[in-house]
Amino acid sequence: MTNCSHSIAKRLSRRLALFTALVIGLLSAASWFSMSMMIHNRNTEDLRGRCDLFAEVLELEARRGGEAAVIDRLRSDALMRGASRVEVRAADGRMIHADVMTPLFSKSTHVQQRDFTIPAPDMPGKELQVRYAVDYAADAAMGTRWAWTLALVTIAAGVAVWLGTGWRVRQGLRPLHDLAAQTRAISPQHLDQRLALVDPAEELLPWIDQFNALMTRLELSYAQLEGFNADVAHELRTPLATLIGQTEVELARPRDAESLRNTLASNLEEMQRLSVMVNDMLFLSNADRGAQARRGEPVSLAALAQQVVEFHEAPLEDAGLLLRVEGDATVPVDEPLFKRALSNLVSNATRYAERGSTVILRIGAEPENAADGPVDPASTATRHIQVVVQNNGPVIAAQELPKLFDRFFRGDSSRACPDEQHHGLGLAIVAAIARMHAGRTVAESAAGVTRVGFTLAAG
Amino acid sequence: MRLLVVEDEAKLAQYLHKGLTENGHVVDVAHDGIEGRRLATGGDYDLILLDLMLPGVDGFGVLSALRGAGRGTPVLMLTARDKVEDRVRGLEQGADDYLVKPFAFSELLARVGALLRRGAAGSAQTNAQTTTQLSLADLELDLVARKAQRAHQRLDLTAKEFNLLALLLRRRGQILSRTVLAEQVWDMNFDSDTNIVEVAVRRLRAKLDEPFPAKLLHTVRGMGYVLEERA
Repeated sequence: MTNCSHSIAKRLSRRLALFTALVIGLLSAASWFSMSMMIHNRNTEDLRGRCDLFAEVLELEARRGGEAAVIDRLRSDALMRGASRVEVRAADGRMIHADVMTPLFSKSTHVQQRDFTIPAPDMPGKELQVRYAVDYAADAAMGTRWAWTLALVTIAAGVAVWLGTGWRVRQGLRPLHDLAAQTRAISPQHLDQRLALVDPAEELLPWIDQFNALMTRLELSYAQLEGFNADVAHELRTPLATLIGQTEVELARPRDAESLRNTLASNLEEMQRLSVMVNDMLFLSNADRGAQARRGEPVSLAALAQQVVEFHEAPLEDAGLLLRVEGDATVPVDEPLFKRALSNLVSNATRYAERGSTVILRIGAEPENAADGPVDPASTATRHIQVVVQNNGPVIAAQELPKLFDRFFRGDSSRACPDEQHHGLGLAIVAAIARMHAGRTVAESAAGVTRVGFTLAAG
Repeated sequence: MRLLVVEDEAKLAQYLHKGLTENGHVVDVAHDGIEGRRLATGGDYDLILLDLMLPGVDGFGVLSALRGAGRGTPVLMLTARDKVEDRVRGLEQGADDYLVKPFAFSELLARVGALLRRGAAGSAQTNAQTTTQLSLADLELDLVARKAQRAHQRLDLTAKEFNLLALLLRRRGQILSRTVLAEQVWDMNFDSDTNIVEVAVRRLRAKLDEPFPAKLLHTVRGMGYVLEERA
């Protein structure tokens, strides 16, 4: 885990909290504004109603007792008016009554007032000017309290979501810790372990499946590699034991030159076998590490095959076999590699063909439907040439066919040969050369006919 | 011929010294890159056998110092690393040939011979061109008519058997390894199944030696074949 990485749980909960606070905040603000608007309208209505009522009362008093009655009424009611205040001026602007200005009233910023007139009682045609003011500070205070409440709710919701999602997401991501622990437990000794969750999440399943598939592939190649190493050690051990043993025996007593010469010659033969094996394994290792064929100019594959057939002339005749080359293709190939692969295939066929039969080396376009094996995806567009050596002989069991190109695979005992030179890498080298030409291997065996070969991309 | 061997592996250097000396060369050995560079640029050699991985200065360093000093001495690179890039780099920097360890001494000797012949080109070439008849004891080969006869009896050889016999006869007395034969006669430039050459030689021997009391084609165990008249 690197230090610069971020936590999904933290980031997700922070973002969700901010988002929640934003949404609730906007809703609160909207509701607060509409509420304030409603209160303001209601107050305006209220003021108008009060003024109408007040005008009616004053007009009634004026009709009953003139200006004096009005003033009387104004004075006697003053104490009952609470949060409202009245001023009345005569037509000439003289103040006839004004309610006491309380400090509360004078400081308040929530005063609404309304001016209206009533006919002056003693002077027809003239009017009294009335100013009616109401202090709505109580409503405003309630609005402010409401605003604070909403703000607190917004913040509280944000914090609650932050903590809640943080916890929930951590819970939700717990399977990842499980997976990490399971992955940690996988070691070269326990490559068969696979990841599994008791309650797998839909989002994690593809990842788990891919990882398990990767592990299966790794396990397979690791097993192959281990097997290969064991095989190598085994193959090297026999000649080494011979070398060490016979040299020791030879040196233990005085020997004549002839005996020493024989031992040295025998040692030399063993060491050459070792050398060939090491070179072949290095070749395979280079191919495994992605070495590519160095293709030259386009060349007739049949001509190269003919050279190989000439090389094998003597062993073929010894085995009482005829070899026929069929078909041709002109393709750029790495000539030494191509000849090496063909030579190995012909050696193989010579070893297993029935005496007196004919071996056929066939060169041609790869059959369309044959590309069911693991083909290089880029190669589907390119033309493939197939080179196959066909011989009559014992049928290879279907389950053994894929193993034919494995390193040190020698088939069952009936196919095993007494030939000491054959170290079991021949067909593995064919497979490597096919890969180096962006091709694959081909093996079929049925009804007494075995066909082994490879394909190569024609360009 | 004077040869310089630059090789830090003591045993390998010792056997190269011994083997090459016994084959008629005068051999100096340098055990590290610095001494190698001094001898290569200062001495007068007909061929340098140069290991790639050396203490002090590596083979490429020795090679560039040699070529930088304007010396065209043929260089045969020896290395345990079989990497195409190394081979290309060596040849680009002016090495003349390249041999990957482990190699057979006969193979090394053949390469050394080829490089020395190339160095002393001219007279040998005309010599080879004029030869149309080869013979050893009662064996006669007509290279133009491609006919072989022994004790005046026609030998019925295939084309490749004739080529094989001609090569052995041309290099009579020299041990030719199976790898060299596969390369020269059949143009198979890879570590082939050496068994194939063995069978081919056996079949040639059946035609060449079996009907006659004096044997000419001999197997040298572990090394190859030689065509020579033995008492």
